[in-house]
Amino acid sequence: MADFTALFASGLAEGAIAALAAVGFLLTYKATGVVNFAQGALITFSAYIAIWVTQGGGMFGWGALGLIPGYIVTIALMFGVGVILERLAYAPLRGRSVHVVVIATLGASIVLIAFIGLWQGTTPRYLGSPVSPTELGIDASLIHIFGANIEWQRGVIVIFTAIIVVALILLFQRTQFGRQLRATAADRNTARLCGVPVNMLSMLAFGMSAALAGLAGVLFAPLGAVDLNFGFQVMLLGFAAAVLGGFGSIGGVVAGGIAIGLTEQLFGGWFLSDVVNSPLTDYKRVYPFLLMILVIALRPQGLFGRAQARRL
Amino acid sequence: MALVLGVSAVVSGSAGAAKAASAPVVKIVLLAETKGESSAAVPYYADGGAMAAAQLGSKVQLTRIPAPLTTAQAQTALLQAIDQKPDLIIGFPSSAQTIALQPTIKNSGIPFLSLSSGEQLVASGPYGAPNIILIRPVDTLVAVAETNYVLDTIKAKKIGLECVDNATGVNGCNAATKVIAAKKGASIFTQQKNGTADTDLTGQARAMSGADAVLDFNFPNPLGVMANALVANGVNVPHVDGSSASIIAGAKVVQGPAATNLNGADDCVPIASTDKRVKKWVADYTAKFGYAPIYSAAEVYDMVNFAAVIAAKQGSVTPKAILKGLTTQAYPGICNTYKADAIQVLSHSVDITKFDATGTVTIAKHLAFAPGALPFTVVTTVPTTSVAPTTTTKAP
Repeated sequence: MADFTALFASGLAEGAIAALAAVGFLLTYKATGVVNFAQGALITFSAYIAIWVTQGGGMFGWGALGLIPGYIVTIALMFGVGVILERLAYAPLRGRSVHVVVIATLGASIVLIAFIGLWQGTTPRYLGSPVSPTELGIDASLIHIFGANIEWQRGVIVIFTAIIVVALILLFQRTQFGRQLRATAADRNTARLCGVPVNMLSMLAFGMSAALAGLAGVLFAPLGAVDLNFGFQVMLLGFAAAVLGGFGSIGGVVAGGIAIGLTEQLFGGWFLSDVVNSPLTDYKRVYPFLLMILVIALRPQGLFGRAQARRL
Repeated sequence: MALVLGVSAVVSGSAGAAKAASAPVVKIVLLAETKGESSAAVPYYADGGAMAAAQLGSKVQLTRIPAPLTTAQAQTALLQAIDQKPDLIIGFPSSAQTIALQPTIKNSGIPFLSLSSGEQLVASGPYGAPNIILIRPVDTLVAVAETNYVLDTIKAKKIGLECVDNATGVNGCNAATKVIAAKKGASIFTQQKNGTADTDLTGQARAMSGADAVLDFNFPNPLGVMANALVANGVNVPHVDGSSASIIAGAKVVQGPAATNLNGADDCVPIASTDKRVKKWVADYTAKFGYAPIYSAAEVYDMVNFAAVIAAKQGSVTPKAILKGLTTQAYPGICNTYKADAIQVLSHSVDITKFDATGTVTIAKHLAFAPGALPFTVVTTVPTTSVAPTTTTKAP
């Protein structure tokens, strides 16, 4: 039971991070029709910004007290980075083939990673958390459930992801911004003709997507070390979650994220290791992507996406 | 006036020629990246070499060519280096690069000081060559040293093995498995694997519950994850890794029990040395570059200086002279005292490190290896420069 609980918590936290990354993909996709492949680099960048502002001579380098305001400032800065990214990598290419824009976002990702390498180097770095062992001590940083020790940080990830997801759902369903975004996603040209400021929407969508990347970065980084490839792994999981859930709804991609996380940890980690005792547990990183391939082979629009009808 | 000037120019030229004849300038190419050139680039090699070149002045001419990890790009860098007709090449940081490019290195005939330590590259190994010399102790010997530390110093009986799923982990775990199997009373409690970029090792950490010690052959980031996961899951036992331990401890990725449980293995630890000369060097390096050096900076620094010493003693920088110097002369460097053995390895020791709760490193034990020793490989060829011992153990 302890193993199951520990791995369930790990899978849930990993799935929540994947969901945050997936929602970031969804936002830009809905507003622009483009998948932003700079999302991983943005997650990495946010972790380094958080390290910069909260450590050493950073503006919030006060130790534990500076972490939360530092995180907030990081997320705000990332919103600005997202807007800049939209201005540089998307706006000039508006109207071009979607493939051109995707390649541009990939190029932006490479440039951003190179900048981080020049700025911060490649040595692994550590980002603290208010609930980490260094702040609270080992025992206080753990929750004990059914014999398993679970880091509070994983609980924080799940709680914050849930709050953000609910807030975004309300934003899309109950606000004018949400209605405009849905209209733009349905038919950009018609939305423009109806007076929807589609260009402003794409800027805001990129900004919000980057802010979500910022949140993913500051939540996930304290669980390990930060290096230049940190965000890439999260982006892969997020992309798989978005494809698995279907690019249509927030609920869908969140469900996809949870499925991704639980498949790796519960199926690959617990079932294959503890129940079946199979050496196939060594490949647990692969199974979420196998699941993604299986689902889109059977249902190309993803679990919760809507099939696109075409008039012949 | 013109005659006087002409005579003085000839005199100075002659004096210069005489000076050049007694201490020829050694031309060195360093194949390594530095900060910002790729996502895996570290500054230590370049900075160690630059510091040595700056101090040696006209005695050496050091050129650095970035050598990315991909074989194709590394090959381009190597060919550029060969085109410059250097007297010595120092490179590559990864065994995969050196192994893949061994034929080109061998055919060039240029003395090649390898920054990587794969056992396959020793003179008697399948990818050895008369002009390839290893700076660092052989990787399998270091793995054996780590394992022996777990068995003989920590006195663990049930050992959990954690292996990253690439050559580093495979070679290390294979060596450890053999050593543990040969030790009476010791056994492998569990053997787990992880990817180089894994970010959650809860399952692997929980599987170690019940082991007396964890022996890890890992990359820095997953090592940090594993060290913290072990403590979080109540596995509070000694955790021994290689050189990745110092990297994550220095980066404060591990603190508290995750750090105090951790041991590493480095070629040398300049910042923890009590030797006055080394301490001064560390202070000078830190002042020059703004960060404390690790073993790789010290090794490149030592090799550039060694090359200058060889050139002065041999009075020549031909490949034959440089090779003769590298294989016969000893050099007391910052990191080590280098002396080539029969399999053309210069270093024969490793420092087992330990860390306090804040990640500050000290040396727990200094372990030396017998020159020419290899743990498991049969020596199939004998270099002409010296006699190599033969072994009777089976090849892996």
